Amino acid sequence: MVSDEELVNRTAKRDEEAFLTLYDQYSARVYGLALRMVRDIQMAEEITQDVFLKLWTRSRSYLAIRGAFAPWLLTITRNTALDRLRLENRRLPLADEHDPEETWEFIANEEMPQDEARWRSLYFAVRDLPKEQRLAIELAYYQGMSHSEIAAHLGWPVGTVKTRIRMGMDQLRQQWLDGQTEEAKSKNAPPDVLQ
Amino acid sequence: MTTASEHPSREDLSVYALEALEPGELQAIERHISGCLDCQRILAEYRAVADGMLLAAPPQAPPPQLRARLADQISGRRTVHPPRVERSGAEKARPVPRGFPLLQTALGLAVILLMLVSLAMGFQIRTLQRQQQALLRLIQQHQAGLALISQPGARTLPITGAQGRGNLVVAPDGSTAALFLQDLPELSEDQAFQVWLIPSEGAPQSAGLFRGQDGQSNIPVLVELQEPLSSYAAIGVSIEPREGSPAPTTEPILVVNL
Repeated sequence: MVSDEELVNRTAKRDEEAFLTLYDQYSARVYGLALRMVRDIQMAEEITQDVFLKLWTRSRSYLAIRGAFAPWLLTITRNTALDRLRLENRRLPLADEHDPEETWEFIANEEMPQDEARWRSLYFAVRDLPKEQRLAIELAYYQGMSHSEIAAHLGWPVGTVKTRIRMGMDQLRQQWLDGQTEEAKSKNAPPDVLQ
Repeated sequence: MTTASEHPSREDLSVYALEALEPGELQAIERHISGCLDCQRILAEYRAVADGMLLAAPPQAPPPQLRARLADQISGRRTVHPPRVERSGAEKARPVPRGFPLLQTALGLAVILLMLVSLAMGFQIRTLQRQQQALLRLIQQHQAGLALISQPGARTLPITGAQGRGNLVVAPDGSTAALFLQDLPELSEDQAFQVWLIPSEGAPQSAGLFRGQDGQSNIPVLVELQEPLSSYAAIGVSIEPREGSPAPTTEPILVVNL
C-alpha cells in the first residue's frame, strides 16, 4: 500500500491520481470535521473543496518529519472552517445531545485500527463530558471562540469558563493517556507461544 | 496574569492548548513555556487531546459530485512551467529597459482589466454553482417527500396555525416524517424556520432548520427524527435566528399534536 507521504510527494509533482487517492482516503474526515464545525451542508462542502485545493497547491509545505498527514490536513480544515465562521460572523446552535449524524455509531468495533479506536473513544469521551464542560470546549475548539467570547456567549464568568475547560480537558487528557497506556501494553505484550 | 517566572495555571494551559486565550495573555505564557519543561510536558498532553479532537469528529461522506468537480478543477488549473533556462552573468547584470512608458502603462491597465473580468466571471460561476446545488437539493427534497407520501399506510396529519398551514406526513413505521407547508410568513435575511420535536416531558429538541423558497410552497421539509415519532407529543415550527437556537425563543407559528 502506498504511504500518505508518497502520495503527498506525488501530489506535489502534480500527480492527479495520487491527489484523488488522498481525496478518497480523507475526504470523509475533512467533510465530517467541517460539518461538525459549521453545521451547514453547503458550507461544509465548500470548505472541503477549499481544503483539497489547498492540498493541491501547497502539498510541498507538508513535512512528514513534523507529523502525520491526517492531523496536518485536518488542521488546515479547522483553520479554513474557522475563517469561514469568522467571515460570516456566525454563532451556531450548540451541539445536540443526540447528533443525528454520528456515523461513529455505525463503525464496527472489531478489527478497528488502534488509532481509529482511540479517536472514536475520544469522540465519545467528549460527548460524555458534563454538558457545561463540553459546551465550553466545543465552542473554543470547533468555533474558535476565546474564553471571554465563550463567557459572553453563555453568560458565565470568565473564571468559570476556564475552570470548566480545565476540568473537561483533564478528563479527556486522562482518558487519552489511558488509551496510550493500553496501546503501549498491547504493543509490548510478549508474543503468544506456539503450542 | 502570568509573568514569565511563575507557572501559568492549568486553566490557562488547557485554554492555551485549545487556542482560546486572549491575544494579550499569550505573550507571557509563551515566554514562560519556552523555558519550562514541566509546563511543556503538561501542554503537550493537552495538545494531544486537541489534535485528537480533530480526528474525533465523525467521518461523513461528502456529496459525490465534489470529487468530480475537484478533478475538473485541478486539471484546468494545471499550468505548464516553461523549462528553466539559466541566464548568463551578462544577462543578469543587464539593466531593465526603461523606455516605452506609455506602452508599459497601457499593458499594465490591460492586465488589471483582465484580472477584474476574470474575478467577475469567477464570482458569477460560483453563484451559478451555488444555484445549481440549491436546485439539486430541492429536487432531492421533493423526491424524498414523494417517496414518503407514496408509502402504503403513510399517515397524514393536517397542521394549522396562526401563520401558515400544511400537512405532516409520517411513514407507516414512524421512522421518518416530512412537513408540507404553505402560506408561511416572510422571513427577514437573518431568520429561519426551526422545527421542534416536543416530548410530553422535557425541553423541545431541534429537528432542523429551513428557510423555504421564494414564491414556492409545499416543499417537503424532512424532520430529523432522533427517536421514533411515537416518542413525541407534538411537532412545532418557530421563527428563529438564521443559524438556529438551542431552544425555541419565539411562540411556535405551527403546532401539530401527535
